Amino acid sequence: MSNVPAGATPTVRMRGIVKRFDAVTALQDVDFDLMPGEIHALLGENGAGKSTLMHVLSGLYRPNEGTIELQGAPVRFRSAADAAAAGIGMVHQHFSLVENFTVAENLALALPGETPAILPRNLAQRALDLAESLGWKLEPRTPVWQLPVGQQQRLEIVKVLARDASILIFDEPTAVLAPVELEELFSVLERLRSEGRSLVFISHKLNEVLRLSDRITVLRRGRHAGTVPASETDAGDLARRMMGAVDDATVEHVAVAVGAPHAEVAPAASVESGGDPVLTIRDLHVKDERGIETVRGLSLETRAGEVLGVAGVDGNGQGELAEAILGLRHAVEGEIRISGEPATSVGRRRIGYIPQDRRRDGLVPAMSVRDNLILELHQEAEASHGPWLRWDFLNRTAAEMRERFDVRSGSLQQSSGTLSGGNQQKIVIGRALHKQPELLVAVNPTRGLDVNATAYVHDRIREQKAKGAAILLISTELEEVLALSDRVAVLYSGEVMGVVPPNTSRETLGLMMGGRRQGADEAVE
Amino acid sequence: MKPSSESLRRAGRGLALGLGAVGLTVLLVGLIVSLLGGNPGRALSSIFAGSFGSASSLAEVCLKATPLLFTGLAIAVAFRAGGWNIGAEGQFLVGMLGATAAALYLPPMHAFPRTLLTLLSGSCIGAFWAALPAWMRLKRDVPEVISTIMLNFLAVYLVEYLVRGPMKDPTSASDWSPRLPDAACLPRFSQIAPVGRIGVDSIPLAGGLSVAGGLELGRLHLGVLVALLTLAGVWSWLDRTRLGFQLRAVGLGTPAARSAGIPTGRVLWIAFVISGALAGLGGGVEVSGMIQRMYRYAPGSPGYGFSGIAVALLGGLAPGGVVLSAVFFGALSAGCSQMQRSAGVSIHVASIVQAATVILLVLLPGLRKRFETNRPPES
Ligand SMILES: Nc1ncnc2c1ncn2[C@@H]1O[C@H](COP(=O)(O)OP(=O)(O)OP(=O)(O)O)[C@@H](O)[C@H]1O
Ligand SMILES: [Mg+2]
Repeated sequence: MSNVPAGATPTVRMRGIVKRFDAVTALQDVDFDLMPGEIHALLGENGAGKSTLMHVLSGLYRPNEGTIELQGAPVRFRSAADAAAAGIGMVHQHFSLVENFTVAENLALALPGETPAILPRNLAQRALDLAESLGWKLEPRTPVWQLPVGQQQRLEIVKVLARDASILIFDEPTAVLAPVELEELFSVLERLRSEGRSLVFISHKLNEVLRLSDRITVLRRGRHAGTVPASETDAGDLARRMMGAVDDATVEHVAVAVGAPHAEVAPAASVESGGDPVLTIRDLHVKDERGIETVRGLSLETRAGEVLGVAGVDGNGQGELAEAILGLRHAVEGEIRISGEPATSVGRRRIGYIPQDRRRDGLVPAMSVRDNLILELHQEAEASHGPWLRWDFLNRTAAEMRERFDVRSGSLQQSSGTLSGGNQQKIVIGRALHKQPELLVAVNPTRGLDVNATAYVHDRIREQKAKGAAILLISTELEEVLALSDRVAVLYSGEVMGVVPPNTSRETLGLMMGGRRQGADEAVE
Repeated sequence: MKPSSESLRRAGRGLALGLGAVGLTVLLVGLIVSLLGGNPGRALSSIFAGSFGSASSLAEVCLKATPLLFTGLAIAVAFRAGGWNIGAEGQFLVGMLGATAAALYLPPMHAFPRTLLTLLSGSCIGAFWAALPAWMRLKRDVPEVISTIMLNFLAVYLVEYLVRGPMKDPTSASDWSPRLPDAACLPRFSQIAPVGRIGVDSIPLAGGLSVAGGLELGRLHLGVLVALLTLAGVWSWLDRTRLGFQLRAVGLGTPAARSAGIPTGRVLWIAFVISGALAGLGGGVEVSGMIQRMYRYAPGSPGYGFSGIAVALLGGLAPGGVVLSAVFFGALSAGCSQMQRSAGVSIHVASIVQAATVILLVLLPGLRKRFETNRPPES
């Protein structure tokens, strides 16, 4: 860890920041200092105000009160362009790339100054060189929509660096990365720090935060709840700061989140001997938007009262698999049956679905929290008299759901697009778990959720299982899969490498995730 | 439910937009008339006199607003579902045709069912005219913007062919259909009620201006009532039914609606059919209430379907807003006719003012967005 010289002028000094959105006070009197050459982590529950604070710093929001100083000089940003000109760059929770443009075109757009009317061939060259100096190879002619998420993130980072940003903000950059990509990202971040840049790092994963950062600032419901050097704190302390009073159960969840090996992962009794098969997939082939077959001859079976985990690195067909089961994507070949019936004839109400891309497939951001909560419910018979919706029933149920799933919003009328990332996810989860589905298909259900909310979702999944639902848990989070599943199917390149018990060794799982079939040379069982 | 701060804010924004529209019109009229060497004060006061100045001008506003209300609603319904129906013009025209055909060729019957069938026929043909592009979009991925525009042309030439050929009035030299039988026409209020006017004609204000103190019933036909009933129906349909809710969800986020199990294709299809039915009904009301025969319009079509786009957008795609903006454009059109008569400003200037107001108003929401500081960022 680099040392932060005491008494040096902070690169960024934010004082007394207040940001209100109508009824919601997102930030209340928050102070934040960023020193040269440090990685400063920002922690807090969903909706604590982390993204908002960084949006204030990067010029997207103007604070209602408070001051910002850069290198001791007061500044007042009118726009994100102002902040960018002052050397502040932000890699957002959700990327801002032009999907139809190539890598080079996206880089050209990001360069400072006017974009020339006719793009010279080598305009993005500097940025590509920059990427290469970080050890990344970017293919300039590839359209962005063809890139896997990890690559898109690299492009975002290079975009920011190309503008010579000396202050870099990363909003939950690790949520979408595979373990290998994660290591590479970390070494790049450490390298940027060694160049004397200042970095802000937002994450819900305490182990990452403790490992990577020099100092940690905790926000609790919009207020500053302490700044501590990473070397002088631990997960328990941080959890207490984030949530206030904490009981033992929470500390245990925190321990799980930190990645401490959990003892209680005894494979549940139901392995192989669970109830009747609910979801049966035979030799499934599915194509993605590009027309490339990303699910190639996959067969699976999930039984009632069982969690079948699907582990694997992002981009190995997870999304397409889920969409095919839901009937949202056409299967080129193969068969999907739910409780013996062809999946296409099974009503959507018997399946709970937590989609991979919550902002696109999970939410209608322009609609209110209430409308999003009832997006499925309003189709139920009890929700209407003939064509007329029973708004009294729907309003009441939406209020209950908001309460039960702890969706933190100003009101049920707030538009869901303005909720924090985690609270948006809670709406999607609430919808899937509110009913009693026969089959639950969950893709990365806890992506972007804080420790408490993650624990809550895990409990709900176990509860659905106890009630006899069949659960297909597709997650890139290996810990999550191992903690919840009765059996684990490892996905690689659209095929199942094998189905193993959750106490299989990490080494074996790692090899399978890299494309080795179960029992290829050594017996795994 | 008590009004939430959200809905209050929306109402406030709507009010600001309405005031902006009125202010803009006043400015434009003043500017254009004085550029042409006219007297802007006189022009403006004649616009007011011709729209809200007396009981009879108020009736004129209602008559002009009625077709706009139908096309405005039609477009609002389609746009809400994310379907770009630019074809309300054509749907309105074929609605007029359908109504005329039913009125002329169905066997004689009692006036009430006859009028009803006349309107229904207009509505059905309008729905069919909109179902075509919806089908092409859903089955063959044909962009509906293009197909609806093309169908506008088709409608114009269909009218032209029919009023010169098969539907032509044999007793007249003009290219138009025979007059609709009285039994197929929407009666005027004055025919049903013995009163000619509700309230007084006008209440004098300062400066020689006066404001309507009532409503003249003389030329007003029952189509105004049909329009208001339709409005109430569409309003409660959008706000209170499952389909209305789904319409909004599909328009604002198709992938999420699809993932939640909403049959997005079917919803879009229904939205289009209802949109066409509304525009067609507007055509039926126009022909059986106002003009009572089918003829070829001078520039090819009456333009209500195109103005309807402005009506719907200014009205924020919400039924309440659509009525207000239909009345606004109705008043502008009635007032401009008066301006031509009493201030001697050519009707073409009136058209320019109308068109410029529409363009500037459509710009307004875009301008508004620029000043919002709390816009959510991309994340
Ligand atoms: N544009 C907006 N309009 C209204 N409220 C907003 C807006 N942006 C943020 N908020 C509110 O501000 C609060 C803080 O949100 P923020 O996105 O900063 O949380 P966060 O700490 O990043 O959470 P997460 O970990 O879930 O991403 C939330 O309650 C959110 O609803
Ligand atoms: Mg956030």
